[in-house]
Amino acid sequence: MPSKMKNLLMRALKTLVFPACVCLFFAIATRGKLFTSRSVLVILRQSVLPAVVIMAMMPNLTLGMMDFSIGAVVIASAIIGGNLMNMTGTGIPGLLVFSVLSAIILTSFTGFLNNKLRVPILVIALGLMLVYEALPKLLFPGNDGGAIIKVKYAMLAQQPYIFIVFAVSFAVFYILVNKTTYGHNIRALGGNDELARRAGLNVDKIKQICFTTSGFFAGIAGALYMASNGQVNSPTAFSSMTTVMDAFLGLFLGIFLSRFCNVAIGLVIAVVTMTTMSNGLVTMGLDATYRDIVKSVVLFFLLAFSGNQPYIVRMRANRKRGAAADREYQKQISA
Amino acid sequence: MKKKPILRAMQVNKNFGPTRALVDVDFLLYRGEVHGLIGENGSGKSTFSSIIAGVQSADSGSFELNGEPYLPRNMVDAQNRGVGMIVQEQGTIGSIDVASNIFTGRLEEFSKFGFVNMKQITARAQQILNDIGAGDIDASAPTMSLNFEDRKIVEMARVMVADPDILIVDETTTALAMKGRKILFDLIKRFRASDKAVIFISHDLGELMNVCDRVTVLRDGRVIDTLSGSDITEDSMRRLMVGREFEDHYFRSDFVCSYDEEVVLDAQHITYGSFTNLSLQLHKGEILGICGLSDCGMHELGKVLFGIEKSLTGRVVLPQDGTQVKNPHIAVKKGMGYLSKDRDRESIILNASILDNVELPSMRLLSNAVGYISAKSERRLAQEQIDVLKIKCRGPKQRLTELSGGNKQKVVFSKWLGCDSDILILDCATRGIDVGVKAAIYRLLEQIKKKGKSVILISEELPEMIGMSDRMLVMKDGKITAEFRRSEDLSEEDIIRYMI
Amino acid sequence: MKRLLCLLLTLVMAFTLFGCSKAPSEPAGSGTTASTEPPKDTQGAAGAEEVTTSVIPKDLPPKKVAALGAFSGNELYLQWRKNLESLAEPFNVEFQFVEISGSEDLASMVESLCTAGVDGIITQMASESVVKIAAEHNVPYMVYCGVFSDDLMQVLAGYDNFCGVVAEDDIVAARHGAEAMYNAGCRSVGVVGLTRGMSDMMDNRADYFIERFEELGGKVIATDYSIMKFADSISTFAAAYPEMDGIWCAILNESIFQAVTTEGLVGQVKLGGFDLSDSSPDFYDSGTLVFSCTGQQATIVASFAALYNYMYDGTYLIEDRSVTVPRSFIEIGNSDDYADYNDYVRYSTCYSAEEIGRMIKAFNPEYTFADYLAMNEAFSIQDVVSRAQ
Repeated sequence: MPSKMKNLLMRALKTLVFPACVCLFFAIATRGKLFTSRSVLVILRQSVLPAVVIMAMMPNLTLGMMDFSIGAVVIASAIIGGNLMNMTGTGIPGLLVFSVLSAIILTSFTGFLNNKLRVPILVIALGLMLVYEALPKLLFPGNDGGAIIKVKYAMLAQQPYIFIVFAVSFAVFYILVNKTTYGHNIRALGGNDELARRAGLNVDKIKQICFTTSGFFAGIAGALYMASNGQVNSPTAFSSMTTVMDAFLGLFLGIFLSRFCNVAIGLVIAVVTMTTMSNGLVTMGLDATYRDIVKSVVLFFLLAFSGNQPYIVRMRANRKRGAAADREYQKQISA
Repeated sequence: MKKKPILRAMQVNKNFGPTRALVDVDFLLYRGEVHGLIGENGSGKSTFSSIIAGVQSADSGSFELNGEPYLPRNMVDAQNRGVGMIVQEQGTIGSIDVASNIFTGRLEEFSKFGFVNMKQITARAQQILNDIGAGDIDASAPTMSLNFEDRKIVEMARVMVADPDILIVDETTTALAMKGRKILFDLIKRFRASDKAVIFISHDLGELMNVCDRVTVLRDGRVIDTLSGSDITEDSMRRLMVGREFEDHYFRSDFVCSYDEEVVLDAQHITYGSFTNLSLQLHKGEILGICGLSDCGMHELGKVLFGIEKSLTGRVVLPQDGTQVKNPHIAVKKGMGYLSKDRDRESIILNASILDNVELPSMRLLSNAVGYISAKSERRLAQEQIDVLKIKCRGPKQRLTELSGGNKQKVVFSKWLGCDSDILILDCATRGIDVGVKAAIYRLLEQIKKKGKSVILISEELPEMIGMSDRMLVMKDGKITAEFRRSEDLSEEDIIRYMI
Repeated sequence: MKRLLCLLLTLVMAFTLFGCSKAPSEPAGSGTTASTEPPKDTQGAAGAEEVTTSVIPKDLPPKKVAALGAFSGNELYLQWRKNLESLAEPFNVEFQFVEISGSEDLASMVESLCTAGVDGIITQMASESVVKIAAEHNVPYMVYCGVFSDDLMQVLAGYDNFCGVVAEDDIVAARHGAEAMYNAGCRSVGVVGLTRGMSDMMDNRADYFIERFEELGGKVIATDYSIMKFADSISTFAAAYPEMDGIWCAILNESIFQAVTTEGLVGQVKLGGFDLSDSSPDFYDSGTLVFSCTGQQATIVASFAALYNYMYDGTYLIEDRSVTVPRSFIEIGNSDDYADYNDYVRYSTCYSAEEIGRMIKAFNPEYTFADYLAMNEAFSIQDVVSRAQ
């Protein structure tokens, strides 16, 4: 087999070994209930929203910026999109357009502040999280900051439409990250911003674009969130972060998998794996609290193992070598 | 044939606060010339070259490039005007592939409507790498998979993308082994041959003599003199750099192999990295030299002796009390010191002050019975070392990031002098240090030896080995291939035979 | 510039701290205040009727009552507010509605209100420390729609200012829900609710449904208790348990209906639970929704009656304050029930000021605790309709 093919196969195996183990475990633990065609579709469908949220977070994360306000942006854009859709009677297209536009405005504002104030993004994001959580209440006091859409608009969250939305989002994300100068520049900047700056990259401009494109995906996530819930209330006291918790867990796993495969693909596989785990635990009847603990512990062990794997491999090799050297030394002495 | 000037600097000044880094510097660079720039640490040569390369701007003065006023806004602007620089530190981005590193900031040339053609970029990058003689580096490989030398070569390729008229090489050769040096020197030859110019900055006087057509000597920010032709000798360069003749011997004046019988460090069939079942002993008052090619295993040996890495077999023992050196904590506690080859990553804390760095291994000496350390004693310790090693700085509180490379190396050295270590393991201790300070370090080593302390000197510079060691161990492929005792007749040729 | 901004920020924070350290004339966090007119010393009008024989005296002393909880965000919360506000003028009470979010400390809020001089507190939440604070200020404390352990109730009853708890009987409703679903043909149901331990009320809604449903011979094939992720759970159940023919929800919010629609379960499963949502009528019409219960909006005024008794002259309406007074839910089983609820209950105040006035012993000495219990138990659509006629 040509070495390139072999290399590709090895990387594919490494990428899929953990997801495969998860699937196998839950296939056995749920006695096959989790892998009926319907269940698989449910898993895939439930993976779309966190996957899109991760797409919103990824570019900023590549630059070392963890934007915690993204959850608040998703919910705010859901509410704004839902209300404007109702007001204008524009249906699902309206929901998408208004959600995306509002999210882009919000994240662009976050980026603008990040560039101008030169304050750590953590501080800005936490502050803006509260602002974005309160924003729907200011804009729509009559609805008390919430939005309700009719059940017929739930079709956006149903198959096949949700998969179409995902396919389009993924295609855009993949192309942006891998095939554009923007994607390359982000990776360069994320690697060493001083060197990138010296090489002529306009750092502030790239960061601003990062936030703006993040808003595009956050808006799509907002529209999906609205469609799948039907009613979204304005969150308070950082509760918007729980919306994106599953996405965070998937993100860490995705970063781990991206060592073996393209980052966009790694993230999608990661999200599907985490959703499979969630569904499997639900099917097994495990309480929500314990589910979160199990998912976190599994992730913890996985990341600890992968992070220490080179040391383990080296340790084994050293032990072997040490034994051989000792034997040789004994031979020399006896000789 | 009259040479045409390509770059002219007139009355260039640069200050960093109260420090005058450059004072009325005039400089002329001709086409087809390799012009060396030397000086002690802090003499202003890196500052001057970085101004030319657009990294920073001068406070006053002017430049002309090909007869036109030259005032680059940044490095990119300088590159576009035909000036490229290879820096001393790491200059590639690990998170992207080699081709992307080579074309960072220029991807627009290969993109349409924002979509980048990676195939084209990779092909072009490979072409450039082949062109400079580095065809073994895969342009599509992740940069982080390359070693330091290959990454430096990638930097060279990046500089060549812009096809500069002036190439500035800033103390790059110290980081390169044979392959990298060959590529660099071939590039320099090519520049000369194509009527372009090179500014070559190095501490290696031999190198400067071999490569340069002219050498400008800087001292304390001023141009002292420009040597050319046969005037370029090691002695003349040294003299101009330090401002005095070297009346004393540069290395040790004696040729006597002298040390006590007492063994202070005993390595018993240790195995690690490229060496297996290696044994050696260090005696009291001895300077034990270990030399070889860069990958012979001597650098790893130093780490194992100090306890940084654990030997897979055998042990390292301090026979006086039978202590086994298992880790650096024990080593330091027992009066050992270690100076790493990789200074910035392993020897100093860049974001800390000189004082913080110097006092690190000396805490137990500075503290009183209840563990209190007075600020006065800290300052005194740091100032002592600054004075002894003549570290060019504003004071003990200055951060190391603000010091030149050579002064940083002095701070590393001062760390271990400050805690009065009995056994010093020095790995390439004089790398990147100017001759004046090198000489001072050699004097210090002599004094240390006289006090009955012991030194293991690991170096790739044979003159240093021959000049300073009582005994010399030559390593090759992880084995000790020869042992030499100090002698007036010992030559580099005698040693090289066992190295290669 | 950065330093200037930091200095500015520090000054703002310092001034805020200084401002907050003073005894507030209005407690922090009270985003909404009573929309009624300020209390008049003359007379409070007795509701819509000009009844010369109103049981409520005309010259009631002005009182200020703080209502703590959620009064916006959904229909129920708005109904609570509306119902309470309807009593403002007749009883000459100024209501101060204080929204509490999760991050605010109830104790400090109560202390601020007591310091500000409220005459009574009505709320969904209680703990010994909070009631104690109110006791130190001699402020009566009344709870509506709250579920507490027996031990805590015993402790609270030890405080003179504690007037008692009135809450809907989730246990009875849950059992009725189980019967309704079983009678509708369900034999294998999935149950979704809030995370266990977060609320006794929510736990009861699930536990007693399960208990009764299993008593009847049905089977609970899957459960999931997670904070607001019901939609995902339903999708998972539907996929993993094709035999599922019913879903019981501790809170029937819109996401449940969305999930049922998304999964194509309309007409395939029966739905039951607590609370109503916008899609409830449609699901009743389709026969999917077979049981839901509501009516909590009236509990607050029933609680007010007990509070006002104590506020007026120190009388305890609730004899044994260590026992929660149960109220009936309005149970809706089909479209007709829903129509009646919509027409007669949803937008009404359920109890008129006059009816509440008759619960004040000082105004109506013959009123007893037994009457009060019966009133609460009798609550239903028919009850509301008959009283309105």
